[in-house]
Amino acid sequence: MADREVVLEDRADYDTLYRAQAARVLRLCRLLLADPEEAREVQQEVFLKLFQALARQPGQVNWSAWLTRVAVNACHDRRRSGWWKWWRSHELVEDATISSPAPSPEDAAVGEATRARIWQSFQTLSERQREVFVLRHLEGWTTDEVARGLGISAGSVKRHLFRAVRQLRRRLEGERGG
Amino acid sequence: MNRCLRERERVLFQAGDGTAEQRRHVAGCAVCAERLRRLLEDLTVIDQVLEEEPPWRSRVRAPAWRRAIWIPAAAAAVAMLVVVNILFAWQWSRMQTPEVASRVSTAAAATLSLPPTPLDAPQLAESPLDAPVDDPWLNEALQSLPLGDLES
Repeated sequence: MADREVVLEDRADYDTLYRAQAARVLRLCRLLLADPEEAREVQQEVFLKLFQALARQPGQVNWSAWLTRVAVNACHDRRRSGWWKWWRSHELVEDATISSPAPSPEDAAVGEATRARIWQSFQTLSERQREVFVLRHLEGWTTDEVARGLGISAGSVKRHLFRAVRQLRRRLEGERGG
Repeated sequence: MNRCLRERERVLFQAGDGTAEQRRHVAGCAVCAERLRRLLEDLTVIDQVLEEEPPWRSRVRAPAWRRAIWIPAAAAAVAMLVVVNILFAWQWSRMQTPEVASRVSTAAAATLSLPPTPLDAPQLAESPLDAPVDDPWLNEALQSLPLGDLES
């Protein structure tokens, strides 16, 4: 009975965490993989691991950071897999100018072309630059946290962040200029 | 610190990795403040775009026949098998043909140059026609035949 209660309690925690973190993890995966469908698959994989981890160690853990680390590693593994590389090299991407039929107010503010160019530029970032940019800039991790999380030096984190920002901004400035 | 922040320093400064000296400089430098403002503006736009779904609806995956990797793999394997088989058969026939031909020619030459091989049949002392016939009637009939015409 006690075991059953623990399981139910864990499930409640899982549900709470899922509701609070699912969208963030999905966005993180989408940014790291630049592929919404792949991102959904990895998101499910990450939450399956969360479910298993909660059953093993239901104690005090910073699950938000844990989820981010697991998601980053899962995306990293996915990108490194030979199958994924083959798949990516064979898939066709629709023209970026084909966009969603109902533009949001943000779409109207930023502009279709700008959005397309930023996304295209983001996709051309190296895997490491993308990871650093997402974690450091979008997830708000500190330089040391990113360095620990990715297993690289703080100097490398700064270098990758700078290169990523410079490339994205150049594309944006090119848009303004031309 | 008198000089203005370089691009790399501005990016790191904006990310929160600036030094106290840089902060003091930016506080009193209108040029750096303006450059940082523009950087922040750009990053805000980039954040805004990346927060949303990509501008394309979804990635269009390769058609099913291209996704099924096993089909080209199997076709390649079969083609390779056929080629190997053909090569092997061709090579085997090349190896076999001269050998058979040389065997035949040797045998033919030997047949022409050597005397005919004696048969294993028993050598008869006299012609079967000369052998005595036990049947007296048949014997008499044979004697009456014109053997001279038969031999010619």
